[in-house]
Amino acid sequence: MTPELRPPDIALAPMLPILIVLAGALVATVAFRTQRRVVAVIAIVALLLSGFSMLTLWGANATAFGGSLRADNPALGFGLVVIVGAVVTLLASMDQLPRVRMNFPEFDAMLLYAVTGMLLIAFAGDLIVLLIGLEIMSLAGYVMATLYGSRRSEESGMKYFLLGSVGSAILIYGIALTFGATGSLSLAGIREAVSAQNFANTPLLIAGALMMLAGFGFKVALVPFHQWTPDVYHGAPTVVTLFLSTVVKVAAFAGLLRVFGGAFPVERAWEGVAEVLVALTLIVGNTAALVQRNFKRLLAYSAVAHTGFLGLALLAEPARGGAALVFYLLAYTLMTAGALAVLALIQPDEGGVENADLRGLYYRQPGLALALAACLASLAGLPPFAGFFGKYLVFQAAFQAGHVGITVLAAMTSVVALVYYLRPAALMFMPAEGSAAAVRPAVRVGTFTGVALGVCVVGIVLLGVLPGLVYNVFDAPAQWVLASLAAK
Amino acid sequence: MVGTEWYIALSGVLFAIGMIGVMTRRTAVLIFLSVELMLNAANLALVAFARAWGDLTAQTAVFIVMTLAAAEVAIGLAIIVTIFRKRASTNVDDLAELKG
Repeated sequence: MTPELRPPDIALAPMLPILIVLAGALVATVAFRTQRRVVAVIAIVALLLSGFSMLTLWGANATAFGGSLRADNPALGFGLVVIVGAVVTLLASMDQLPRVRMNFPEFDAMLLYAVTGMLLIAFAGDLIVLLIGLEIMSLAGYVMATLYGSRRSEESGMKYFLLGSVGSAILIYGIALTFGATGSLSLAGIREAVSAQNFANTPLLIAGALMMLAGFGFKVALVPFHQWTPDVYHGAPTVVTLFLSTVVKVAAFAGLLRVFGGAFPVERAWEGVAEVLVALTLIVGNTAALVQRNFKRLLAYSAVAHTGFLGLALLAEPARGGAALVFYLLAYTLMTAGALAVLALIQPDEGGVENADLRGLYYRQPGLALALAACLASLAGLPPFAGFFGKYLVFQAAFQAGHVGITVLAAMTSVVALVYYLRPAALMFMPAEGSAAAVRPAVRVGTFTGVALGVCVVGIVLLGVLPGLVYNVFDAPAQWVLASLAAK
Repeated sequence: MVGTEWYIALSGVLFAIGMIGVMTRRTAVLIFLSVELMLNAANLALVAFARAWGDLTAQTAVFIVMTLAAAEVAIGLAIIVTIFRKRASTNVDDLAELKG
């Protein structure tokens, strides 16, 4: 008797966005003797092509490898946000990296490998694919944090690596326990087993879900797994911080939504724990940011605080929360990237600037000051910027799912956030007499950085005035539910 | 024949030892070794569960986890060596320039 040989289910189309980025990464790896500028342009072109191929896949619900890889609309949405963030990072790096003597093509290669991993996470229909993507992203991230040859950068890389690998190990153990409880590694299979109450052992399933939550918690900087965040974001070169605090977070949230919105929507035992973690994240992130005197570190804590706001969307029903999450992630990426791109320009070294040195920036560099002010106002959640609608949508989604207490807490902490965002913003418009920064010569804004800042500022204003442009595309509850059932 | 629960118990113990090591050890190399122990605990659990369910997917997952661990070693040791060259120490308590 010969075993039946079935050809593997290989479809090129849903893999195309990932393959294009991977090809770009390989070119950047081989081209280490080429000028960095050329490699960066190749990288941008690869990212844009990949984004374009995602647009052509829109609505097709294509899958490959028996549902292990699926390019449904949520995956494409997260993928496009990743592409936007990565392109802005590259644009900002074109002018910034030569200034800090980090102008080598390895940066672009690592960035493209990281994006490859992120797209794998977003497209994952299977815990193993998700894990591979997460590791590719994390490993590239560790290298990027260490790339700059300063003691601080090395320290930040080491801390990132050690805590990140502990997070991965916990996540893998969680995957093993989930497999033990449900007998399946695919998200659809787990969902089926959980819905049918057809699993071996409830404690095993809950332990697996909680360990996966903890593992992802390390990646998105949920308190109490956030300790590495301020040090890594402060010590890494500013352009790398831009990448780590925006794009990496988008991908990790995509994974979280895939697992907890897609695979465990019925078994809500994890929800109580997640609620406590989100509440802690909101409180710790916002109060710690309040006492920071270094602007780069302030933005690092702001990234922790925003993890809390984004976490609200996870607590909501996936059908509502998913759309709010994609919108908030896009807004968060644009406003954080804009703020860090300005910081990269005005900082005297890679340690960032003290808040006090921002005094009078408007009189030295009006354009930069206005761009930074717009980003900070958006981060604080003021209308008419995108941050306002992002917050509004996630608050609404969490509130409608019955999480009233935590929504009130989030609203209160966002008032605290107003203080620490608007203080530096107000300082920029005060006259700068007697401050050391006043004598520093104005920096020239290069073309590429100008484009990056333009994209960010126009993006947050446009999303703030016309949020429906993006939100309505994702606001179809059916697609978020189908996301995990389509592969049956 | 040994039941699955014994394998899972052993894997849980290995994972706990790794976790304790991560929290108590102070040099980067030993912390990293403890992480490897946690990964192997997960591998043991995956293999045991794969046999219990009669499903080979988890066995292949073990190969992937082993590959990931190897890649992590490559990157991790590179970072540790870089740090050691500048500071002649891999004690994580010496990494205290970034605080607050």
